Amino acid sequence: MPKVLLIGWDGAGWSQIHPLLDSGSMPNLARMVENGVMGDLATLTPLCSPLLWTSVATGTFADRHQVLDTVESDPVTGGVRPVTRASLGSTQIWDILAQGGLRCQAIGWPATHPAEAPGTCVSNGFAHSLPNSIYPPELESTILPLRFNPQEWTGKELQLFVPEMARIDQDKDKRLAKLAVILAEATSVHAAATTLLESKDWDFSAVWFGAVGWASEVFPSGTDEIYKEVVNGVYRLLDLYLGRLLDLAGPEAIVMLVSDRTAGESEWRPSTSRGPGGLLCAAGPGIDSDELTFGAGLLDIAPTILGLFGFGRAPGMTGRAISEICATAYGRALQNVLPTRSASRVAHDSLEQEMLALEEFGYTDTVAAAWKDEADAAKTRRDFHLARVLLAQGRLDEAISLFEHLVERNPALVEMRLYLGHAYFQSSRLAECRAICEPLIVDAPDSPFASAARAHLDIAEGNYDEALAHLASGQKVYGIVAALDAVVGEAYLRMGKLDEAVTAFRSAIETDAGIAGAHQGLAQAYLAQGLYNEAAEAALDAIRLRYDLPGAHNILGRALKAMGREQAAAGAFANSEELSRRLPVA
Amino acid sequence: MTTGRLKIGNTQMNITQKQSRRGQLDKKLAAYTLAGAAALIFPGAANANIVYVNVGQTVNNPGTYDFNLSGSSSDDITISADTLGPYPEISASTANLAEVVMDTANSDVAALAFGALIDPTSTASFGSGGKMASSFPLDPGDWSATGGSAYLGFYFEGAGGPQAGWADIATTANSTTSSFTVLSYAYETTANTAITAGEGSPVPEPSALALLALGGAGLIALRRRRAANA
Repeated sequence: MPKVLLIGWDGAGWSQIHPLLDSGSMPNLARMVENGVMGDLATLTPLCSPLLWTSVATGTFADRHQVLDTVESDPVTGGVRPVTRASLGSTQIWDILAQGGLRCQAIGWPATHPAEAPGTCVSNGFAHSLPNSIYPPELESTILPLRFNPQEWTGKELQLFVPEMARIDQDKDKRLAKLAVILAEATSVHAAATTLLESKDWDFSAVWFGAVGWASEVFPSGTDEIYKEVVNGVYRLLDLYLGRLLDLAGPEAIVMLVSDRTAGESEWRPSTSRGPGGLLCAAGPGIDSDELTFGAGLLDIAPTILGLFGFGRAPGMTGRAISEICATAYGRALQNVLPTRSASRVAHDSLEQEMLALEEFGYTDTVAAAWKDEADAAKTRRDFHLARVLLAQGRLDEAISLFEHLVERNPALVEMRLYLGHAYFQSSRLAECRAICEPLIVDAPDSPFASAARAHLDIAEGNYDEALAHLASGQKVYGIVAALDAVVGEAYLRMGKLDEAVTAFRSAIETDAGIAGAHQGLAQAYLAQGLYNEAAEAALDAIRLRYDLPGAHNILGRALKAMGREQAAAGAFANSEELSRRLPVA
Repeated sequence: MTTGRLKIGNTQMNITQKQSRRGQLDKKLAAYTLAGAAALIFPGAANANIVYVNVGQTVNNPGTYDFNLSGSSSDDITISADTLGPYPEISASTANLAEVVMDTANSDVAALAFGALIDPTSTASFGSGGKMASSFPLDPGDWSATGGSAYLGFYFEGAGGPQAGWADIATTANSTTSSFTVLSYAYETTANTAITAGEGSPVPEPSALALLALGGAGLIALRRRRAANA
């Protein structure tokens, strides 16, 4: 039976880590990299931390796991509260494994509060002193004293992160206090995790640190000079903690370090070619040394862990076991496991229903009324995120229905109107796309969304050159600008204008190297041009980003076959066919 | 493909795939090299260009402490505890082309905070010295009158030009006497190179972090140690 330790570093990215590895500032991660595999981890949209981490933990898209925002409605106050386990619509991997009889523990992971059976859990509420953050309760006497209070930091420690902290007027600048909280949270989680790793027998443990993501938010790139080393300092601290976790896990354990995204990177106009994706590093028995992973994504983590324990994917999981980590074929069926979680959610929903019923009878909760605006804004944000999750999966009708509802209720929000127009466009409902985009351009001609709206209209009318010009002049519009570049490329491809198609796809890739469809389109154009080597490389780029694209495997196979590499081509064709069979039904 | 596991599955392809992946790895390693000038993280990392001296010497009124860093026959900087009229004070004076960082607002010697930049190539705030702390109520100086410490920024004329340095000095000045303690000082060995106040001093061993890295047991040990020292 293997032993697996999953460590989550919120917002950590290779682009920030590489210089630290190079300068020797992260020796423990360097040890993992040397002894194991590393690679990028394709992220999902939207870039909302609890949403992404719950996808990691459940192996499902957010429309299924239902953690759609950082907050959820609070049926008691009528306002909002940090997202809890009550929102969960899917079961997290440690609970799946625990239901399967394995000894599991989760520490600090998002959406685990309040702590519940079946495994051992120190919830993400522990570091913030919330009650019911430890399960089983008999562990409270051991774990509760390990919560580190931000006030326990002395200036000597904080000075390691902010060398010139003496210059800070703390009456006016509260960021030093925030840093103390960020570091205290990480330290509390580490103290609880190390204690559980040492004192309990376990098969699977998951530990989550939010420090990098949070610090990147409070001290973004280009922040005041005095704070410029804070994020690097946080990475060093986590590396220090990683060293201890590795030691406690022992050489017999497989350790997986993952991040959901690179914090601070824009979703679609990233400042580096790496984009906003996350990272993956894994080491342990059966894992090659100093190798790279290939095409892994957030949804692959849970199936990989199940695979390491010999199980197949749970229902609802769409990812794959990452072959560089889980070398043996998986397939043991999960017995007596409920991959869908419902109990708390039902209770949560019923409480909300009760509140609504009371309102209908004229009962007015003054506290709830005070929170109503915030709750309404959160509900809108959740629906918007859900619509984008559906759009990203190509579930256009469902996405359009939600976007229409959102636009009707929020006509002033130009971003939502553009998304609706884009969803119409993707559905080939061009008249409706035009009906959205034209007034948008009139209403908000200077909006960064207007140029993307114009591009939609240009493409609809076949004016691809104009569309490209508008896209080039536009600003970042989540997902849409680069996607339209790719759409123009596809249009040129259909028209047989191969040179123009290559140019458009390259433009899309230069804007956002993370769009697998653009790499696939480029591969197809190269293939049509008879540039087989280039076609194979571009297809592999697409596969690296999204392994589950049967078309990319097919193009790879055709390119390899044309190069006379029949055997390799056969493997690619087989993958294409297998993936086509596996495509989820919407 | 009956195993349910996807793999580009033959020898030839594996070689192709590994070559492609190895290429990516090479790119990463190249990126490492390019990023080689990345800044170190925590302050006080070992710096071979800074000479650090731990002093810990207290001077009472009347008395002086002399810095002779340039190796000339006379001292470069002198810190004095004396009395001007009825007012005990502490002051700094310079010679041999040495200068100290001044407070341009009152023409007294500046009391610098940790991390303040001392750049010998910028002459704007350097001067020949003056009052540091005084019991004279109308011009008490920038330095502590009650034993607090601050950094004196200076440069002295080395063989290759001005070399920057700092001295950590605690000062006291009241109506009856004055005194000071030179805690430590440091200077750049490379001419025309800036230093920051406190730079080069041994980093306080991050013992608290080292303990916390151990986890729960370390946290408890840290609390016990702090309680014992309280």
